[in-house]
Amino acid sequence: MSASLDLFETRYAALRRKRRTTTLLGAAIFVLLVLCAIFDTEFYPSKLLAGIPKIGEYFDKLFSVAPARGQPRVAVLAWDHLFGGIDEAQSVAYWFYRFGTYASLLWQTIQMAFVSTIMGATIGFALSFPAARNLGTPKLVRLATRRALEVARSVPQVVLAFILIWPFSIGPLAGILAIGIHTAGALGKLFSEINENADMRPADGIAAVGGGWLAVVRYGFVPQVLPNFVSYALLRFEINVRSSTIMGFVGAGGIGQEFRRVISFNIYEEVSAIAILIVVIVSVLDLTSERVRARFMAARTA
Amino acid sequence: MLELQQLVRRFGHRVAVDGATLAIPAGQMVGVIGRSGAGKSTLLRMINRLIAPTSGRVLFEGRDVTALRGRDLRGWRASAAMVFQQFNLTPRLDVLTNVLCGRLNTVPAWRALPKIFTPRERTLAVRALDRLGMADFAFSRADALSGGQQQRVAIARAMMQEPRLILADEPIASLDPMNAKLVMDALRDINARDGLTVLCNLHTLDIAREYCHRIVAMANGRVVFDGPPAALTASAVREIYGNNTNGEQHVSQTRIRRAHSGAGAGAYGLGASTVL
Ligand SMILES: Nc1ncnc2c1ncn2[C@@H]1O[C@H](COP(=O)(O)OP(=O)(O)O)[C@@H](O)[C@H]1O
Ligand SMILES: [Mg+2]
Repeated sequence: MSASLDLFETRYAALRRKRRTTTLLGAAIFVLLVLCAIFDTEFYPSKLLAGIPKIGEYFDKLFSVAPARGQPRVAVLAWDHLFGGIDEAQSVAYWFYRFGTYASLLWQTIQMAFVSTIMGATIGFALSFPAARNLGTPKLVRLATRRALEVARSVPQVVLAFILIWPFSIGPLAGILAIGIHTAGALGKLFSEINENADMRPADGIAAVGGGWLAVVRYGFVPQVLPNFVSYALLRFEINVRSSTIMGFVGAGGIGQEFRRVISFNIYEEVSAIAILIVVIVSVLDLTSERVRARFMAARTA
Repeated sequence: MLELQQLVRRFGHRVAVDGATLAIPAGQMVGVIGRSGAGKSTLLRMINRLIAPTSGRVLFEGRDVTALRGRDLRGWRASAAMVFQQFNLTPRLDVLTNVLCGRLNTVPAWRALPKIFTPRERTLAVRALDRLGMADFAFSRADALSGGQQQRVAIARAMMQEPRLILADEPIASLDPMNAKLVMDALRDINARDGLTVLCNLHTLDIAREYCHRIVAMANGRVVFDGPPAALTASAVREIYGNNTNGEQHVSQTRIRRAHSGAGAGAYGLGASTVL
């Protein structure tokens, strides 16, 4: 008895030694990778500290005005300024004097996100079934679908948009396609995982009545997985609204093109005006879609 | 006539069904018994080809159904309706749609995908539900029903297939005694009135004796008994379940027997638990 206990202790000690070595080695590699990344990107604490005060400078410029060229700037963030007329520098009206343009571009941005989400979700939906392992799809078809989805989601959207501008010219179409393709890849993968986690009993039931592949998908899978699909598609819509705000930087439509213009001309008021609008719109949409999603999930369990 | 010839199914090196040979004339109600793991489910699933046999043949009215593929295979599945222990309904669909699913073998894709069913199909579905006392629940969601109700819906779906035989894999194993009786009575009614062959895996001897014309017993993948209930003597039962049955088996059978007498259905034959 004690002999076998000794043997157990020896083995246990050996196992622990081995585990400790693995852990230490892993930690060393991790630290090395972090250091490399810091040096490569010049993420130095000194630079960080030097930059922080300059964050204030931006706001200084934003909230102050030079009475005349070359004169020292005077801080102007005061109520009477803020609600002054359109001719008063630093007033809200002055900041947002191009509000009409912004609004229509923002509307275009949201619609880009909407259309690309629908496009991506539709393609992702269709491909998620051949991509799932539990539907008896021929292996070749399955692997081809999975590779296609991988490629679709691994190309950065801005790069994709830039490429698509050549055939489809400057404008929202290229942006919609770029985001849509990425969304198809991302949602297709998520949807296929949802399919793989589905309860197989209803699917067996449909196969047993002599239903074909489409019938199994339609009656065995779709009713179970659809609520989850919708929930993920809504989440993706939120992400796509953010993505479509930057599409304009490469000329692919939306508020981004105006944003890039005011940035390159150093028009601080407008930069912040647009930034504020984007933040407000994105938050409002996030909250709304969260509500909708919560409703949906509640309805599902009811 | 359904014939199984030397049916074998291996999973890796485990032999689930080992050379099963049976001939079942049309209209018989056959109970398949045996302890858990004996190969009953595998045998049934091989008949409608949810599981492919490793070797051996299944013949139905002289036609080899083991060789069928594609459309023919699905046609065969439609005529050999399965009833599952876990009902295998689609939970989020309503009862009527679940029953209509029994027609999916004949409904073309252009109608199946948008869920378009003909008035005739709906009439058949409501009749099938009505026969099982479930017509009032046509618009309830399947997952809102009790187990016994779900199983009756599943039988209605099986009837929608207008099948030639019914393969029921432990249809009452997850039901309380009252619902178990309802479901077994329904199967018996289908067998007697419609003349359908019924093959039913059962884990209680009492039920098999009461409802079936013929009992087939399996042990370790082999058919070890095949005869009328009367021929199932105490020594035959000992052979099927083994002399030293494990405790679990014994307990579960005792519990089921008690439950049955508790429900006021006392007139079952010699229970396995009394023998063992
Ligand atoms: N899909 C499977 N993969 C591996 N082994 C299986 C599978 N299905 C059944 N088996 C094995 O085959 C044997 C018979 O199983 P089964 O037909 O389910 O028995 P029963 O229905 O009589 O309880 C068991 O030993 C089981 O473990
Ligand atoms: Mg079983």
